[in-house]
Amino acid sequence: MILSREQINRYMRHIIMPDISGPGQKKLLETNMLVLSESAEVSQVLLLYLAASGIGRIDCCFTHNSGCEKVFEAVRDLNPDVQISSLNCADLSDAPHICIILGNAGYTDLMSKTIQSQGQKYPMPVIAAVTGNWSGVLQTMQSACSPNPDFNTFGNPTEGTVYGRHTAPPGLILSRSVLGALAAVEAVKVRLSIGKVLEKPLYFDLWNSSFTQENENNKLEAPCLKDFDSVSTYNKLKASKVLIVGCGGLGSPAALGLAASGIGTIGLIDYDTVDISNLNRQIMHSTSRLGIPKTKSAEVFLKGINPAIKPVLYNEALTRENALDIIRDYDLVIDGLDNLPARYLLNDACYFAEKPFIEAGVLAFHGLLTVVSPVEGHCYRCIFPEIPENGSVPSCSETGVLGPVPGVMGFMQAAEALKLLTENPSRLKDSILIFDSLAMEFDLVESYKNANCELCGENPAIKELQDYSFVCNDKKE
Amino acid sequence: MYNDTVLDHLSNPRNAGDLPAANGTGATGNPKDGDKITIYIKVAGNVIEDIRFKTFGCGAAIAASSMATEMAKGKTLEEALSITNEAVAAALGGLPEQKLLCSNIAATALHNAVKDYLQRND
Repeated sequence: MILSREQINRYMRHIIMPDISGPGQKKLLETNMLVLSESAEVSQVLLLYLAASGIGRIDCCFTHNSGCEKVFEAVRDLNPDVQISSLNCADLSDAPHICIILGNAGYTDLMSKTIQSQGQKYPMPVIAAVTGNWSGVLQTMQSACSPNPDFNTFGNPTEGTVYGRHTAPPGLILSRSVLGALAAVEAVKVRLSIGKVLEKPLYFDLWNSSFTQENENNKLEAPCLKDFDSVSTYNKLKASKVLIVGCGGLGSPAALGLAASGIGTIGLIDYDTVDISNLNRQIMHSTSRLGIPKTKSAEVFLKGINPAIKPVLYNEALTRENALDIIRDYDLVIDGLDNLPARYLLNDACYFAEKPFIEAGVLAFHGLLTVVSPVEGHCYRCIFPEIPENGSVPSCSETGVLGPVPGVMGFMQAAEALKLLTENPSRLKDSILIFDSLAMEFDLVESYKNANCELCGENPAIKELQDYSFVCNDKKE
Repeated sequence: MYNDTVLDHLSNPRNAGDLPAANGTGATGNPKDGDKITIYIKVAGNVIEDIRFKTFGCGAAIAASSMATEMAKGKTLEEALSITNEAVAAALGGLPEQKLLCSNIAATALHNAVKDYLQRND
């Protein structure tokens, strides 16, 4: 067999996609990746998604090596196929296939110029990821001669002492995380020649939900954050309670983003146990935790990120019977479900409990994201009025999903949650964000509260929770 | 869930891709079942000279497509029409029961490709 039985099961969600298949996954396993970053902490999410995707060898050059062994342990536990180590750039002997640079503007500018100047020695494509506070830039330079933007025009956010200890502000954590997931997607695409290479820089601003690949100024406008980076925000987040429904591909990045940002109480609900086919994308879980309840596995992981955190675990499914009681204990809910009928249950329950939820979905190379705050804007039924027929909308287990794609969406869910919890505005209350990773495009589509919505409209037909299941074809006339 | 033969075919499928010179195309499956299989054949002198498939669906559907196209390659049209879905599953050493109805449909697509060729060449 082209891969071992265990590997085929681990990377199943990749292998069933014709663009990747077994030969593509084998090529990823034979890939030699060079990661240049300020530290393992800064590049943690990038390293986890590269490992989840099956990049066989990752050589890291960090400015600061402290903390790297802990991150490397997590990477190896997630995927024992991966060889990861830290070394001095001068010691690089084998030419890498791809290089990723992840850091602040000054760092990325310096590193990309250094690599460019050694174009003969290192002719590989370079993916540059510049971090900012709630914002960032990503670009792929295919050869030594590609011009690169002056990453220095982008200001360096200050690391704050706002939270009582020296730690990065949430916006910077989110930027590093989203960039980590995006760079991992781009690396797979470049290596396997899938989709379009990101030749023009992608600028994103999570605070204002704006994304562009065209920018006349050739620099990023840092968003105006009001007084988000403050003690008052720290206290609000510490007092906040967020429920994450589903500890999988979306739940993992969402939980990580929120835990790292200082959310005080995180509820995790999932009835399932960790399976090897989860590990191409569910970075909260690991090979050593196969077979244990996902909620327990998540708890172990999150405590490693933030020892002070005390997750509340629900090792059960969300049902008509328990939904309202569980949801009422929280300020906000994140949808990390993997099936459509349960989304309708969640939508209806959040409506009756009067709690907002952050909706996302992924399939293959695409994702969508929106905020449901029904008092103000649409609910899920305003956009998708009926549960579709069984099989008419495929799931990831049938169609596959590239591991880091839910990573992008999950961290963006965390970003929206932070805005809502601190009473800051969100454009996604009345629009839907569509992500196409093949073109690295983000589009915002306006959506409206439907006056005729069966749940939240003027004459609602749905006044209590129902039985939620796929419409059975046999019952249709 | 899958035996080694199925894993082999789903992870390293034979005959996957396009066939620009195809003179017969057949598809089956529909969104309701979650799997869709298209088979392209190039027929010369009553023999399937070359064959390819494109499949969207789970591993079982990919494995079935791979095996069915292997079984049909180089065969006469009559032989191809006598390949059944059951024979494909048997050649794979068996498929999980819950996958048989929705995913084990590659032979149907093959028959449709043969019929398409015959219709075009009436």
